[in-house]
Amino acid sequence: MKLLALMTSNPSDPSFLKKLLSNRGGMMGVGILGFLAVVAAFSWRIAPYTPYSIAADPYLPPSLTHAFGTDGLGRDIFSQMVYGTAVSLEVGFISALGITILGTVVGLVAGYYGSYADQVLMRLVDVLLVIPATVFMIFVALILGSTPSSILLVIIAFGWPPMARMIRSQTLTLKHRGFVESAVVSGAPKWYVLTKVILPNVTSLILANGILAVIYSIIAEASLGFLGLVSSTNYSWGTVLNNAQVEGAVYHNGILWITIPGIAIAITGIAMTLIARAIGDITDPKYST
Amino acid sequence: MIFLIPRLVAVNPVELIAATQQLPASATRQLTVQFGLDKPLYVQFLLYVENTILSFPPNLGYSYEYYPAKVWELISTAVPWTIFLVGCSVITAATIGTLIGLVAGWKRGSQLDRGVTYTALTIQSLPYFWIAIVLQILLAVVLRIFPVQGAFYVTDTSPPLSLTFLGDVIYHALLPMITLIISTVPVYAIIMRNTVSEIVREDYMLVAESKGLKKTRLLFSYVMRNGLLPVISIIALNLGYVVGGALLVEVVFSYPGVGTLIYNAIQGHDYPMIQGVFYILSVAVIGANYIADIIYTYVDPRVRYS
Repeated sequence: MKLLALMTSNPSDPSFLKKLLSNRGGMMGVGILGFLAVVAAFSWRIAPYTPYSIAADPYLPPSLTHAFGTDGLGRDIFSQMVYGTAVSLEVGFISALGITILGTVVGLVAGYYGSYADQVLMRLVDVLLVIPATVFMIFVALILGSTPSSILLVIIAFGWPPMARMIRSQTLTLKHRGFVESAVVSGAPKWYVLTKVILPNVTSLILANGILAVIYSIIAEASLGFLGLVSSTNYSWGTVLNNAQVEGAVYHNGILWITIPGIAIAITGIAMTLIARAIGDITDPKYST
Repeated sequence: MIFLIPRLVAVNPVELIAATQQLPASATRQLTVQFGLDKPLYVQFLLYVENTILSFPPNLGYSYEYYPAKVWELISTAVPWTIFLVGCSVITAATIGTLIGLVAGWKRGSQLDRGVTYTALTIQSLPYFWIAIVLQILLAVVLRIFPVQGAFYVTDTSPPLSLTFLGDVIYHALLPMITLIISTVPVYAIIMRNTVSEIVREDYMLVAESKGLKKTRLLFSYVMRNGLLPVISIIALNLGYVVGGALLVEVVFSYPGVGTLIYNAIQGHDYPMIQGVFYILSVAVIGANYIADIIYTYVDPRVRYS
């Protein structure tokens, strides 16, 4: 029922951002995200070293010059984290965009055209939902190699099914609503009904789920990075964690080294969740808490 | 749903075969012949079907890394550990999550409900393996309450199935289990909370309440029974995800299950092993889903007749 009620407000409305910012959770989420975006955009100014440059002795504890200490090769972990922010957010947002587009198109087509298209697409969704995605991701990432684009591909390939399923069920309920049926009766072509009548009414649902897809993607990338499947020339939060695990940070004053990447992921996750919830609250006042 | 799942099993080997096609690019010509990849696609497919589905134990080839050990032998020693870990944690987590969700949904909008919801959402945005690492540092390295890694003490010479050995195994499994429980409880709690808060508004609840039924009766025979249905289907649907998470947790704790096996296989580029693990896990998860579907028909009579 919540999905049904999500249709009342249109996110493309300029006052939408204003409403989002006046929502306490929404403002916090946007604030955190903005901070991370600034860190990512100016990583080359903020980080004192590059992630690869050997800055000091290996395994230094956190200090004023090296906020999170140094790794096994004497590289500054703070700098790695700052550069990692850019990579992780990039992966998160690009994959989320892919997931959103694929999920929306499949969901709309399956829900609206029904019959064979629906059968085939939903079987595919079921298959992808049921198989252990992590294992399959490992498998595919190994075969495709650990280039950034193949990682993106793998994350998108396993991220879109839940989204498609949600959009489909929403399209199914919309299909039989009065305003859609009247558009059909008045002779509007199918693609017109789909893009101009149904699509605007699922926008907020797409937006909220697209935002949640960002955190899924960041975690997926971190998992692959943790397993050492992401190329180590591209520092992300997951790569930092992988290094911490491989180089035995636990035994080398590395408590911060291990905890910081996780905290960064968690903070991003909280920000995304807050924004998604705020969107839900704005478009659906009945359910606001 | 029921007629669907067996079809999923039929699709999987095809996917595997498709994935296998890409191997020769990195492997040598000799491997191609050895693996039978020079044969036409349909022959390969028939061979694959013959080797995996039609024979028991399935012939999954030899491990590159532990040659001449067979993949199946290695997997079959690792699988029980993973099943033990995942099984125990899923049952515990679902029970705890359901109860938390029940209370939170019943007292919808209260301080408690909000606290539960936000905590759950926060935990959900943490990666499994990170929780594992933090718990490992905190409880095993700093406080030394639990063992750091492994499934039993290597020095333990007592025979398997003796009481000391079993205690040892449980003691070592606790930390990975706690990790899995912490990271999956929110999923069940949120589902349960949302279902319960919708059930509370149903007409039959109003009727039951106006009949003057006791609160415990309302909670357990009205709300609980109906609220459990989505939880059961979520347990099944999420199983693949939980298994995936368990694999990473196993890596952190060097637990001798499938996760560590696949991690070592990645490090050693042991393709037959990875493929074998993937095959076995898919079959296991799809099988579990099938069983869950059957259980579901017993719990919810509406499904049985439609």
